[in-house]
Amino acid sequence: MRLFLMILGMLLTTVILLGVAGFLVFAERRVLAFLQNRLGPNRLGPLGVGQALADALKLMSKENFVPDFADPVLYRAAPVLVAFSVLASFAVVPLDQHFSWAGNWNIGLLFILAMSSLNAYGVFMGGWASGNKFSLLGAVRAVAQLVSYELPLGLALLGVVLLSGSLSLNGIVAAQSLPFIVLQPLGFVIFMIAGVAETHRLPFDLPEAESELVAGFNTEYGGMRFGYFFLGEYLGMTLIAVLTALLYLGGWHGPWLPGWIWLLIKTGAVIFVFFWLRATLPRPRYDQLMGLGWKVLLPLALFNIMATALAAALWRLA
Amino acid sequence: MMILLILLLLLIILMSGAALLVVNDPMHGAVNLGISLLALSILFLLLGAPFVAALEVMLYVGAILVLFLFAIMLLRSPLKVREEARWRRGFWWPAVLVVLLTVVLILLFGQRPDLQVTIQEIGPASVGRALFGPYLWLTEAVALLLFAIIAAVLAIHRRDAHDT
Amino acid sequence: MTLELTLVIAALLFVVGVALILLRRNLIFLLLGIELLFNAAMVIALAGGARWHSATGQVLVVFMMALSGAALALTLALLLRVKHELGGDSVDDLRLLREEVDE
Repeated sequence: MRLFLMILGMLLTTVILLGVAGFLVFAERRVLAFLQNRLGPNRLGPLGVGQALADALKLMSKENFVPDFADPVLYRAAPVLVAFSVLASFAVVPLDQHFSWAGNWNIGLLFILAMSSLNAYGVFMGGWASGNKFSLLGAVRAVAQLVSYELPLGLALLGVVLLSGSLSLNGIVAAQSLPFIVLQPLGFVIFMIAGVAETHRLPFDLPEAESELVAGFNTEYGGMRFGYFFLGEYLGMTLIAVLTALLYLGGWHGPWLPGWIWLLIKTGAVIFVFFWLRATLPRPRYDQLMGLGWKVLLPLALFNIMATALAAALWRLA
Repeated sequence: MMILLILLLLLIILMSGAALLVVNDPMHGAVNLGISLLALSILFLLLGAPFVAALEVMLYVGAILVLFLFAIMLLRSPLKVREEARWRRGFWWPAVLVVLLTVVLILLFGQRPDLQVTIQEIGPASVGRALFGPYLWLTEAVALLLFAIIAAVLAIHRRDAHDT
Repeated sequence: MTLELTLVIAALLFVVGVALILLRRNLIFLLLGIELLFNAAMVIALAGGARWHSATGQVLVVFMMALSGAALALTLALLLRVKHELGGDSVDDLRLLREEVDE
């Protein structure tokens, strides 16, 4: 019985997350349209919300084919791996003190980092198995970018871990009587930039830059397999936004309203910043991207850790 | 329950290992290694080492295997694989030795009465305390070694004037 | 039963690694075999740590991961150099490295 309820709960969580991803696709189109002074999709349903459903139906009804120059097994496995790794990361994300699957797990943050490296693997396999040179170039770019930006991301997270003394997300939020953005402004900025690069969204979407690589690693994908990549991207963005809210913006702490509503408001605000970035910033060159990661963010992240450790040691002395 | 899970992991590791022995494409080899590494990380969780389990996925699948992928890609063009001559002279003796080694190791490890202990979880906090407590100098030595490796790799890749 | 089966898994990993090194001719598969050997050793270290309830096993594994990563980075750099200089990635291509001995 308990097992049955657990499976039902997991299914429900997954469906809700899929719904969130679909809604975000729609919301992004509307917000972009608003920022560019046009209307965006507004026909189906109130404000056009039905557009998300229509897009999902369109993707699902398309033919699922495998190009004959592709590697059949890896071509099929890659999108599933991408979607799975992001969905699994949400297992350690708590909505509230008592409401999560594994919010108390003592390696929660490490688990998220591990899943994000699996995600890179899925993207690479997709691009390689397509057997197309644009896909391969996109995949190489994606892996190089993900590996380079995972380093500053993890180092920025170490500052938070140093301050809270815990690797579980519940523990980190519980330690924030003062939101960590006040104590870790540098870490917050590094985390946001590296987070945008991790989800390869604009302005760091070089793995799938349309103007040079067709569509990068997912050029050969169509139908629901493309949908999985799409899902992975939008859920990855949600994950980074939730993590920002939990780690730096105080999580569910806030006056008057119940905790989970605060978390949703903060997450929504971060997601809006992501949309805003997309509407505002141009795409850098690839060497500029790599230079930013290795020559600017990595030293800054190291400096952030040393400064945090020093300050914490002095605080303990005083 | 626990036994079943471990038997399943054993099966996965065995199958991906067997696949490694027969596949031709290095990329498929790397993917099979990745599968067995993921199974191993679950095994590490069962052994009460969550920190190492996470590191296994982050470092091995996330970094070391990615190194392999880059090397494979730099080595050859995609999806064009040279057949490897397999049943040639000099194959059989090593194969027999490998089978013998399997039997000996399984006999050696299979039945040990002193292994009946309940497994306790040792979290990341105590591992960190050990790493930066009694083993601090070893940690520093490893850091120094990694730095030396960076220098070595750069030196190997340096193109001298007479190289071209 | 858990620890015995763990040791059996370590033995299997080790055997597969040795078999890869002995039976395959492609250098990439040789390196994959070496990684399997490292992992077999790591499983044994963790089993020891679990048997005596000590964190030392995990510390050992962390060091092993760092060392195997370092060794692999160096070996792959050498492998690329071999491909570049000798034009092949099989063990047989390395024969070109031996010194010419005048009879």
